[in-house]
Amino acid sequence: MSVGYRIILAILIWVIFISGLHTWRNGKLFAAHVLKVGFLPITCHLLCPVTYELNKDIPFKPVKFTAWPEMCEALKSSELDMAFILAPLAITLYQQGFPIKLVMLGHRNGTGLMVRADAPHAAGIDWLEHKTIAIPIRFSNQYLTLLDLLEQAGIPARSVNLVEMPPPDMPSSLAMGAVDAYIVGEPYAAAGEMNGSGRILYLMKDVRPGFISSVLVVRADVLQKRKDEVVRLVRAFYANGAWIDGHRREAAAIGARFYGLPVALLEHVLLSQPDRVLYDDLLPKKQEIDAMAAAMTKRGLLKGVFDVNGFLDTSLVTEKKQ
Amino acid sequence: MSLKGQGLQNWFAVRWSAFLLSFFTMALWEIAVRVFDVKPEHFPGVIQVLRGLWELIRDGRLLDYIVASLFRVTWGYLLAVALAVPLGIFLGTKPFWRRAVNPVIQFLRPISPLAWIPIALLWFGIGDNPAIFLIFLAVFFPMVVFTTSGVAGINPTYLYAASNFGITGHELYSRVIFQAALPEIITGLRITLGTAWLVIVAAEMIAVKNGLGYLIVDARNSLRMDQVIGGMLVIGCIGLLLDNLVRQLERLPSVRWKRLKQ
Repeated sequence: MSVGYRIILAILIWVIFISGLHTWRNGKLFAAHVLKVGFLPITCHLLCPVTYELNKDIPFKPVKFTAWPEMCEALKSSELDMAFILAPLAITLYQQGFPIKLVMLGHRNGTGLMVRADAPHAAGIDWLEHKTIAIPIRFSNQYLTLLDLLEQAGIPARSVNLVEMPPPDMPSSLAMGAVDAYIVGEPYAAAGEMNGSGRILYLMKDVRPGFISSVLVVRADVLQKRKDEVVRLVRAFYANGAWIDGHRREAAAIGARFYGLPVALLEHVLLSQPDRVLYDDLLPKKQEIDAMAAAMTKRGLLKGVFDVNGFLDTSLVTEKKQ
Repeated sequence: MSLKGQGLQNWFAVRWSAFLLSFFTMALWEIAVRVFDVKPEHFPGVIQVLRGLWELIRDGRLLDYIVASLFRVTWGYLLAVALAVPLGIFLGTKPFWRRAVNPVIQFLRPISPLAWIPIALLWFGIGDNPAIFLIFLAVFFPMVVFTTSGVAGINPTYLYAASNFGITGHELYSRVIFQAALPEIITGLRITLGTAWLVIVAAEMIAVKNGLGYLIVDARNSLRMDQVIGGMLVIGCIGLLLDNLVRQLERLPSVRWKRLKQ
């Protein structure tokens, strides 16, 4: 056999070998026909792993993401049926004409504004003027609320330098002095607090009680075609909110396992102060979503008239079972 | 001592010093981390990194991720080569088409495959396909360029000689043109395989749920710097192996002639 044929044969054997191995080891990922729910490893999405763990009788597939834009694309290309997603991002998707429904919240509070450990205590928020502040992404309530807090303190938005940054990078950026402050969902505020790179300036529970970060959305076509399945799952999510409030230590353990984060970190978030993150009151009011849309319009993130009635649908939880 | 014996001794000397050098680098790294008391969340020491890697090996994730990455590179790379080489030969032998198509290729080639990520996600969703598509793009255009220039640069004497011997058609392509351009094609294969490995890691940071690129992002999100660096070490080692593998092609007799001539 000539060298050429031997090489081609070797390549063929390799292709068959690696494809077989890949299907065997990783094939299960894309097989299931159950509902696929996107989430990120943050406490605002803790209901997803907790429900997966507690309700074995309700089959669904939690799909972990590491970035928001990617999750949006997956939702758009029908890879996901439902997703835990930042509320302003969901509003934007809906406004762009992508049919989704907001059915409930991920949790309440659960966001912190962190400043460098050496920031003077007395200065408060005024210290942030002319400083660099990291935000997760513009389409977040963290960003809207930060601008709001600054405005209240009389600091114009243009006098701070805002940078978008993946949350896991924020604590170390603060420690290295690359940023002076950051606002982010838990557990990345607690991460900075625990490793000593920063201290808490505000927790949202104190300055914006009931703060909304992420919401659960369902694609409208999925809701129409598989309503029973969706309702069952959404109700399980909702019910597990109460379970988390009663079993915070167990919930922290489940979260740590799914997220690959230290248990101590999640326990700190869930147990140090009872209202630091809340899993009750997960049905948003129309005014809350409307106010958020108005804030987005004010900051130039939203164009046109926003139809909250077509977007918000909490009836999946509240409606009596037929 | 025979020449062959000397070669063997040399081979051992090279391997041995490479091994020693990497060992010393790692020792220096561990010592530096300890002496300067670097926080593990900023830069962990070697021992911690190896421990993190061992954890990944034990629960089987490392193997799964390596398989996933190699699978995507294999398909993206082979599909691109299978299409690019014939196209390159065609363009190399047809000056008219070369001039017509070249601007398009030169326009698309400098666009980083990473710029295609949003489109790849939108067209192919999540999973293997967007990553394979990105690898394809990273390999296809450079490979067309390498093959085209290899074929276009064939010494005309070979073609005259072939036509004197009455070699035409299919035989002319497979026995003369392909063989003459082979050294350049192999250089292309080697360079593009390196690029493919660079791109797969970046692509897996966004488009998929497993693979070595995903390992890095996932470890970062889990605040596990030891596994981030462990992942980087694995990526480097596999890259080295791949390069060594393609290097073997350069030792084929039908390729060596050009190197001997130079």
